[in-house]
Amino acid sequence: MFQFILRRMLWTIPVIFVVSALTFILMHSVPGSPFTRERALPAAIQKNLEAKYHLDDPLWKQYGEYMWGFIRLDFGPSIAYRARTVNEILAQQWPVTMTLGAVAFVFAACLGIPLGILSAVKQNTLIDHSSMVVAMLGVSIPSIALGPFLIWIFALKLKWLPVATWGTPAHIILPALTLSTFYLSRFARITRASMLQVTREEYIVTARAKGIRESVVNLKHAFRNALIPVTTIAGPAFADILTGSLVVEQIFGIPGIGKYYVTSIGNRDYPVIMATTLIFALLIILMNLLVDISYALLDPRIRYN
Amino acid sequence: MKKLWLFALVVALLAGVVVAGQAKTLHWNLATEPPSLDPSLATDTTSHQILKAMFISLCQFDDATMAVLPDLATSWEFDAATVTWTFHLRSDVYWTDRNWTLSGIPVTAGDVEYGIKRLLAPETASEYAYVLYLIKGAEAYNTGVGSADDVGVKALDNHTVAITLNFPAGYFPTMAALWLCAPLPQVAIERYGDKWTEAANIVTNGPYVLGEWVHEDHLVLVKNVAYYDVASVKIDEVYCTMVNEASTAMAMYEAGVLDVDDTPPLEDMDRIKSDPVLSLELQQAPRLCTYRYGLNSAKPPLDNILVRKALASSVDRQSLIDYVLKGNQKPAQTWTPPGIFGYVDGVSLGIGYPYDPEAAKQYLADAGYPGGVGFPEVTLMVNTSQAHMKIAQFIGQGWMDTLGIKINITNQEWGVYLATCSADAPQVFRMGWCADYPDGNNWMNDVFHSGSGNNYEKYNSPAFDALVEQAAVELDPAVRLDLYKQAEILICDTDVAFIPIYFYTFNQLTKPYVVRTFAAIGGESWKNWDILDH
Amino acid sequence: MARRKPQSGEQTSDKPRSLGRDAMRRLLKNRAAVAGGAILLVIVLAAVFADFVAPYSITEGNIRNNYAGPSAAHPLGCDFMGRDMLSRLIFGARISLSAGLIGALTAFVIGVTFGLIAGFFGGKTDNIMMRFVDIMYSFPTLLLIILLMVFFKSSFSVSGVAEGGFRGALSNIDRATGGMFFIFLGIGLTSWLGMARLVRGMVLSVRGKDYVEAARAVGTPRSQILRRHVLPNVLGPAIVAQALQIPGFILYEAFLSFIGLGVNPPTPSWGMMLSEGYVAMRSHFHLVLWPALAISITLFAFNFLGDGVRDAFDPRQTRR
Repeated sequence: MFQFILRRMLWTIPVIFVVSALTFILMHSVPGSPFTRERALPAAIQKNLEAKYHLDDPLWKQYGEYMWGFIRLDFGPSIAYRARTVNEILAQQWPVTMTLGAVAFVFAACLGIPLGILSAVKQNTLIDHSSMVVAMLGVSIPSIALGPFLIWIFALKLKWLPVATWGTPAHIILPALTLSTFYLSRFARITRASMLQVTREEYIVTARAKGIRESVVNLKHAFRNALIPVTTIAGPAFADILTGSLVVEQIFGIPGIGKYYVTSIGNRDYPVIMATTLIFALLIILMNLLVDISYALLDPRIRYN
Repeated sequence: MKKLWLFALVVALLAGVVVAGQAKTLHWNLATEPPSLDPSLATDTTSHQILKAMFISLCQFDDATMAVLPDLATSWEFDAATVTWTFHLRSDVYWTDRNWTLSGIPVTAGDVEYGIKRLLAPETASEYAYVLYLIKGAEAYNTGVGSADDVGVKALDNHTVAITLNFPAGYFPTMAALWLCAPLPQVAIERYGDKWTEAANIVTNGPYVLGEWVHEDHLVLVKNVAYYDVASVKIDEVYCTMVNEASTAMAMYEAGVLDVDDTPPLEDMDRIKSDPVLSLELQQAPRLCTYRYGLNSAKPPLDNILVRKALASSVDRQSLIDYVLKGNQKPAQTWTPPGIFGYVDGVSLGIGYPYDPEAAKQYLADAGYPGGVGFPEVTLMVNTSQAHMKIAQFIGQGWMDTLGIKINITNQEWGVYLATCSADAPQVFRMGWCADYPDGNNWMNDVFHSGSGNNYEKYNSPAFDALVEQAAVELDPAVRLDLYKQAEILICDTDVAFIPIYFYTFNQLTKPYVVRTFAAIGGESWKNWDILDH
Repeated sequence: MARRKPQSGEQTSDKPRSLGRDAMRRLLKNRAAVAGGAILLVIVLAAVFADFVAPYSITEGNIRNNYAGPSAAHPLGCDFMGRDMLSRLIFGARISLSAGLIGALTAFVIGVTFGLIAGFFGGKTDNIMMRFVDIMYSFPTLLLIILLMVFFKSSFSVSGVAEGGFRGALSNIDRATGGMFFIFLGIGLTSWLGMARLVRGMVLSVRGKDYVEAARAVGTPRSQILRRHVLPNVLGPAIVAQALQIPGFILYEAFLSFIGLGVNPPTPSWGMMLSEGYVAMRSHFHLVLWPALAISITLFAFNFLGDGVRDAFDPRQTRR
């Protein structure tokens, strides 16, 4: 197990190298510079600016210096936000997105997993069908429409919740709900599918045959094993948080990192583009590793070699 | 020392009044995080809005008339022999931080000298340094050739600063009203470096101090009790949110979270106008910007002047305003907007091309494409934005319907778009321009002179260049006005270098209890606002 | 033909028809899936025959009808240019469904080719190729697609006079498709990884089967093994798996429109209509309602059909 983890950790080195090089090449091949302005800047001013951010160095040198900084966890200055370093932007904006994502994830799990279990236990009944309809509603309504709609109903009509922005727990509810609908249906459907599969496994059949109460069988045996596929979606779902949170952050005016993915490219804010890509890549690797480890904990039949 | 003690007492008393009384808070939406609160570095309207509340400069603009008024400088005079402007400063302006600990340290002429020289220092890498190149020695210093000592800015004593120019620019006081000539707090800047603009570090001298700045989330301005004219500042606190989504900001305004919505979505304009409450809260005021469609006269078929005339004559500006923009903008046939010196009323004087479909068809026929037959496809490109794409669809469709030609409407992301337009502009492309200072020089010479970097049309007319060069140095206003009129006729009517579309209008929703002004040149003067009991 | 003797209960290339017929029978019994399929069929037909079905063209409109609500002439109302919403919705289905189908197809072609090569050749090739997939897996798809789209749009969808060569060809395709082409390409290029892994896994398991080993032992050429044994076993499940991804691609198009990387107006797509409409929700509800409904119903139908197909092909699930 330890060896497995170590090997996976070492593997991140070439991954980061390739991802960073690709991003670097791609972002520099997009036309425009951080200093492209509608009111064209005189050449002398351009020169001062480029000198300040070392953009006048050859590209390989810029790349080398960036990576050297990255290794020392110094992600450089933001070019568009001149008083802020990328480290600060990450430190201030990541936690917001993570909080939003985590709350959305919990919402989704709390609603989706029971929905899935319910519909699996009552398979092919009205309850099953209506649960699945509810679950699919979530995946079918685009959040671009759902977010403003929730604002309209819950903030403007009913006045139960604040319209937008960030700060108190009440502010989290609407955006987290908007973000959660997508996972909710995934949770429900995958839980249902894996429950159905597990309940046919021999040891469950045996348990049932031994006369253990149906509800106990369902909960204890089936649920534990059904968790494995659920853990599987946790990894990719984490990546989706970012895609989803971009829309939700924009609509609800939330100070998260999601918007930087679009604005940093628009601003040609090279250090921010690099840092968000690399940190995100690292987190994906970490999540996948955690998912694999949790497999091992949940299912002793899985071995690592 | 005694003076300082007295000052502290006054500050404490004033602060007590603020706490005891009902604090008046204005809720404003900045839309985005201000990219920089450093007066030497800020280049965008969001940052300038906050800078205007925190820093004073030598002069200021009157909100309505844009006349240059005293601010830090009480008076100024020009000496033609030495080409020098001398500004006499107030002695009751103090630096302060958010804990009021610095109040009592006066703002001096040395701070002005420091501010301007810091802006020009090459290592500051200020984008707007070139605006001050008219100061003697400024360009040399900024480009690394000269030294700071040779820059023509000098504090003669604590309350007098002399600025020597390269040529006698009569409009220099308008530049002294820009944030570029603001005094800056040397001690704070040197102590904290790039971080001096954070709320905990910043030292300011204007009507408000930066109480709190939570990046990307909100920013709070608190009335500066050490401000020299604090008695006339009525709003105690300005709470700024950073919600970028216009429809959400609109919802916040309707929910009463915001007191002003300065950019209601144009999709909501019908509802606003028909709503009994919102219609009364909608205020419109002229804004010193013009929207234009640039034409690349080098690319066929636009190299034919008749084709350009045909396009210019088939833009139904009034319908665009009535049905798409819905904000009471003014149709533009000429370039300089009303309110700027040099404006000519093109519509009533017959300069430029009004909407005239029959004339347009005739121009196209004369160009050799009767009914659009044989006319090659023309590309109309805008930068990616819902509003620009709506305008492009309307105008493009109008051309197709009126002239029977084919228009390829396309869009590019902003940075790419600018790169495309300066390298190889499409046949038709969108541009806009807003005033830096209220003079025709900023509209004609700065944009369409053959040597200007803003001249995306690559318009090159020696006659036009001669006119605007002459207008820049001419002192008689009547003669200048006529020169600008001739320039407008040349560029908009004779040569059709571009198609002016409309002059901007501010459309803002303001709660009835907010007493406000409109700053046509941008950057609201919150110090002149008030909030009534409600 | 001893070497092709199927093992008990194992699905092989020999009996695809009976398996398919079996699955089809199970599918037809699933009422939700049938309903989903029927709805999809209607939408697809409307999209294909949009020129005959839609009452107006996509650009036809009277500006005086801007934002007009439903009327006899325009049952779903009009957009900001006074253009018929129903017609734009029908034509928009073309783009949105193509984004789903072609995006999925692009990802499918790349993924299957990649997975087949990796799985079939195995060894070093497999190792290198799958490491590449692993790396791309860690790449934030979102960032990649934004960068790619900005890059494409800047490099190929340029102005004015037609250009020659590869660049010109791509630029012409893009213009002819209203900017759709790069959306498909972007979606496809960033979505093939899962397919590659799936296909490789299946190839490996098929390769390990006794009858394939046997075929190889008697010297059957590689290409024939690939054609007779590997492909038939792999393609079916891969197609099903990819079809299940289509709703995701339709949402992807909407997302790209939201961040400004969608089709070029006046070409309508559901995503573009949605991002034009949501701003106007409280003033002109019909602008957001119809595209949102269109997307939702389509995704709903796809999901029910998809679940049905999956259940049908995996008979274990329906047994209890």
